[in-house]
Amino acid sequence: MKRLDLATVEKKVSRRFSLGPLTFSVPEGEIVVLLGPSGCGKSTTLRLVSGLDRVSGGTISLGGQVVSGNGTHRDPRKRRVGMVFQSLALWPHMRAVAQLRFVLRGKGLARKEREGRIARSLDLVGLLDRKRAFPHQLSGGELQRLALARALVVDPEIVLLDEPLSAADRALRTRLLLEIRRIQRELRIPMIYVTHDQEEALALADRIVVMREGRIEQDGTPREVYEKPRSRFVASFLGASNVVQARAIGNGGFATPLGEVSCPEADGRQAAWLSIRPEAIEVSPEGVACDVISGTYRGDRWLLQVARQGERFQVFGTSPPEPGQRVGVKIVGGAHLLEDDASVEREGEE
Amino acid sequence: MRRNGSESAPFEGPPRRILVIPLLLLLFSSSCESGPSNEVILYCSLDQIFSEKLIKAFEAETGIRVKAGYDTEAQKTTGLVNRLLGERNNPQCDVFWNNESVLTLHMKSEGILAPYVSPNATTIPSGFKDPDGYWTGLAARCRVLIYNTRKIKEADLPTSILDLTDPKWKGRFTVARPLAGTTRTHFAVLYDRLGKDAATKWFRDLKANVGKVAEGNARVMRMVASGDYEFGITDTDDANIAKQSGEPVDTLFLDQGEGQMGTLVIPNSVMLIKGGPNPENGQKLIDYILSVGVEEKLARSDSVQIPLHSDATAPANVVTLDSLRPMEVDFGRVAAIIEEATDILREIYLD
Amino acid sequence: MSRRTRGIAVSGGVATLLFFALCLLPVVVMFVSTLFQDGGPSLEAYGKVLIQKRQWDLFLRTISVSLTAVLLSLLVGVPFAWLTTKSDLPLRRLFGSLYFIPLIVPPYMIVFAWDRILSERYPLGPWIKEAFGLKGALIAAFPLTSAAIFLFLSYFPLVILLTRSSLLQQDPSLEEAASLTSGEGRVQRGITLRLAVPGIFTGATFVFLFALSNYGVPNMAQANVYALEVFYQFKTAYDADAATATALPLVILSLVPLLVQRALQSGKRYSSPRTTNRPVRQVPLGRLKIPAFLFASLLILISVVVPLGMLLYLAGGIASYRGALDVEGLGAMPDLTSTLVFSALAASAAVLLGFFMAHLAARAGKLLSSSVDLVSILPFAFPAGVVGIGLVRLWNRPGAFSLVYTTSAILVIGLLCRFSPFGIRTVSAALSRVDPGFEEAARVSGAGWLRTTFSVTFRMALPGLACAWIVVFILSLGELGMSRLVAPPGVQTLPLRIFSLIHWQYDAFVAALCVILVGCALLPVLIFTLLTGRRLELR
Repeated sequence: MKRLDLATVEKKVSRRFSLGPLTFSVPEGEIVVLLGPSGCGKSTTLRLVSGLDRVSGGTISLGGQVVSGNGTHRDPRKRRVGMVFQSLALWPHMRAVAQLRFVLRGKGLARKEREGRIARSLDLVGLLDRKRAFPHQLSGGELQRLALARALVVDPEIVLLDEPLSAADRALRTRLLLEIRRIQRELRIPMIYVTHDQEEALALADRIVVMREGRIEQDGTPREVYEKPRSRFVASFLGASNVVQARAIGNGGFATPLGEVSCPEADGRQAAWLSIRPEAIEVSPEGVACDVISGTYRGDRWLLQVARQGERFQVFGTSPPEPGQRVGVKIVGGAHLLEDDASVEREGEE
Repeated sequence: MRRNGSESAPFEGPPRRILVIPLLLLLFSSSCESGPSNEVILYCSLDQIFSEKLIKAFEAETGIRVKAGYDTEAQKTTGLVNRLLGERNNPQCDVFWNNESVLTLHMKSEGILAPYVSPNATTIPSGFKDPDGYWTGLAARCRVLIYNTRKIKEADLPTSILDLTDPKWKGRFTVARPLAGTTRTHFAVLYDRLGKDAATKWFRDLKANVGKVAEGNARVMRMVASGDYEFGITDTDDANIAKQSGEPVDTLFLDQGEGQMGTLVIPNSVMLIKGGPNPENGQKLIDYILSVGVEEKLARSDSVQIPLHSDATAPANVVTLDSLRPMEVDFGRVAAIIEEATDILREIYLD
Repeated sequence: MSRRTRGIAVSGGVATLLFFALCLLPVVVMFVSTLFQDGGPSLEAYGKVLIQKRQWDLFLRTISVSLTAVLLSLLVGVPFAWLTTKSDLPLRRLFGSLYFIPLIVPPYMIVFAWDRILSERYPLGPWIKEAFGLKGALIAAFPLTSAAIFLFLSYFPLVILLTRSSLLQQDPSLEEAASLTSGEGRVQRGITLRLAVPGIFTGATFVFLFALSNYGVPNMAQANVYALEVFYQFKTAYDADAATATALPLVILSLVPLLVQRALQSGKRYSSPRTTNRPVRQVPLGRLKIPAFLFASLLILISVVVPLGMLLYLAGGIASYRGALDVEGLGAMPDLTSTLVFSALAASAAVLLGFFMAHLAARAGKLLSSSVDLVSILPFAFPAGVVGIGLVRLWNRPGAFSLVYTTSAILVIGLLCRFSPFGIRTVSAALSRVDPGFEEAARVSGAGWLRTTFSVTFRMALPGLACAWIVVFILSLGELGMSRLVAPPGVQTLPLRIFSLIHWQYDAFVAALCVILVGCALLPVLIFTLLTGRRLELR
């Protein structure tokens, strides 16, 4: 298994939009999730890694060898890449086993070995008993798994998945996510998984690369990215978040409309943009009074929108909101400094 | 303003109405045609390019609208005759202008003609008129050999139609399919002349020897003119078109020598159909067709038809009846055997 | 039943009934009346004809000519379609705009042009004769081969049209997925072309049906196939029963590929609708670029440039055009106007009928929808001659029927019968792309059924409807085989006029009339392309 490195990779997509420079790595045996909204360039990045598109600048290296950039471009065929497309791209005229057979052709495999690999692949995803089915005969979940089997049967050095679960419903998605994780752990193949869904990202990734408008916003472990978002964008993309402008009151403490909060990492600044997760505040009679605006039912609790001093915050509550209600909100956890001033300033301008 | 729940009035109406529009258009267009009933229906087997102008002149002169059914190429006469026979219980046609005479006699014997003797027919020789007045002949053509001057010289040509079964001509010439038109008439005349056995043998030998059995006399002319074949048998009007256009062709009348049978002369014939919708207009049309002026125009046209009126004048390039040796033919007898001959011809020439 | 459902059902039902009466009934009546001889049911008429050995020779000849035309069309059409949609062939957009022109030129004109070019007057004919050691005639000496070649030259664009359409509809990710592990050759063969098989087969079916039905080419090439035989039986021998009996194997032969094609088209094994807007994936040709370019150029040269060029050349100056149309000259102007009017009427009727039928099929239940669909494609299986005979047999009766039989109405009905399936298919495809949600939205805001249908559905499907109109119009302009049988005295169309002149030496006039006809056919296409910026589609 090899390591994948992207170094200042650039791609001119259209006259107005260009991707990069991007720099990140996928270490051996890890899953990296590219997370971002539609149009941020994550699928394009995937296509660059697969070799379907060429880079305009920078390099992509697999196991230390440059496969894209610096005047070279290795064909996808020579990269041993397994890819699951967003549309799954399953060939409608081929049975399941034929799909796998097609990708194994021309690899110089003996028939016995080829059939063995196909059987193992189908077994791995649990489709061995459906091997003679056509795509139109398979259910949504089975199609996803077949696409995955097809990507894996070539014994790839890296597996790329482009929003493969976007068409699945919630229950199916959870099941398939676990399947993918299980398989990846078993095979220890590096994987790049592209999605716009933060839950998938948090559940699956060893590292998350948050992308926006062709650039990387943050690169870190799921915990890092969730608990310590570097910008407002990242903060809001991963889970609900409250962004406040706070004044220093000394000793790492800051004053916010909701009260005082401690943020040691911001110590030394006069003012800072802080991110406070809803989990770090709660409804309490001891808190400051806020007006309830609305609430969303989440099954286990309510996510309430409250307002104070002209700003809005999100907090979890246990009872449904009532119009005109006032609740007390108290900060119980810590805040996190949004370091990325540039993005914060950008927010400020909006 | 939206009117919830109620339909908007101006567009109400059963949907059927929309579909009536194309129907109305169809009927409208057809009614445009029937118009005033001052018309006459003509079936004409003389080629449209020759006859149409004359018909239009008639329309201009008399104001009577002529609805002419022509049909193209090879099968016109036979087809039109069969159609007339098929329509006998409900005649749709007033006048039939046939470009030959044998089938005319056939129709007379079938009883679908009405007698009419035109005042313009007086100067037509009696040999070209029906004694009972059922039909009148005009403007004749002849059967002729047409050859490509670049491919063969006149001296090398065959001199009799019977020579064509000689192996030395194999594959070098073309003849129209003898199942319709003047070619059928020609072969039927030979059948009458040679007798059943000799004629059948000649038919078979000819089929084996011919380069191509063409679909019609005009095509024979085309293929000889373009050099596909060295010579062919066709009608004088077809041959003349090629000559007029400057094609490298010339013509030769066969069987002109002493003791030989002569060349077949085929007059047009015109007749009134029994029970047609516009008999008076039909008679006027026949008068017109039989006028000397029409014959002279036909003679001067590319079809170089030989005038039959004794008082008609023809230009120099039109062969006159006295300058060639015509075949002696009893068209009545030929009309009697033509079905029999056609059956045999069909067996041999229909692939 | 809601008012809307009733509206759709009634209009659709009336349209279907009209369609049945005008387009299907004639042929049904034709076959049924031959079953009755001398007052009682009998198979005698059929038996008498079908037993003859020469019928089966005729059958084999006809099939071999048509199949050869199909084979050549596939051999040439599929690569051309692929090259112009999926490769980086230079000038492929130009090629892609020109290839359909042979479809617009009536086939017998193509034969006419080539016949003149190959005559001794110009060097090409003698050169070919010398090169192949042939003596004597070229076309006349090889009638069947010539007929097959000219039918191919006239109809191969159908294969290209449908293959291109199929290729353009494919989702590029299917190829991309394959290209991850396979070379381009295998990708194209195993994925792209395999998935295009239904489209290719449809194209082949159309070529087959058109070739089978065509009268002008066998007539010009003097090739003795079914089309000529049926004509001979009906028009010359005036034997309607023999003509009908002769036509029976022909119709059965036509139905078979039609039904197979239908099954293929609706199969789920080939549907791969596009999910992205990414452009069609292009394959670099590399070394093959030059031979491919030569191939494409040669094809366009032989099928488009040479025949059209020859027609223009033969026509010469403006004098021929004037002479052909003038009363002083050939006087063909009334024929031209009649043809334009008839074709326009047929096209309008086809679109209207098709719209209501397709609307019904689209919004109705599955069974009804596929019955309407099946019924609408049946006329595809009726060759021109069969349509003609059927019409005459149905309408040639005393009384009110003569209003149709003796006027141009029967001709227009014949055009409708022959070409409405194209209209209906194209309209169906256009309607299927209109989201029913739009209709619902209009309805919910209070619009009545008729207003909804016309303001919303009709308008949204308009480009597709215009396509259908143009297709039927163009096909009607050049129709010969049916017109010859059906046109009553006093009614003449331009194709009939041209055809009657074609064997005389009035080449300049014939060519001029041909050019005028082609021009009239091209005009709506040009207007459409300029106004909408789209290409014509056929499904």
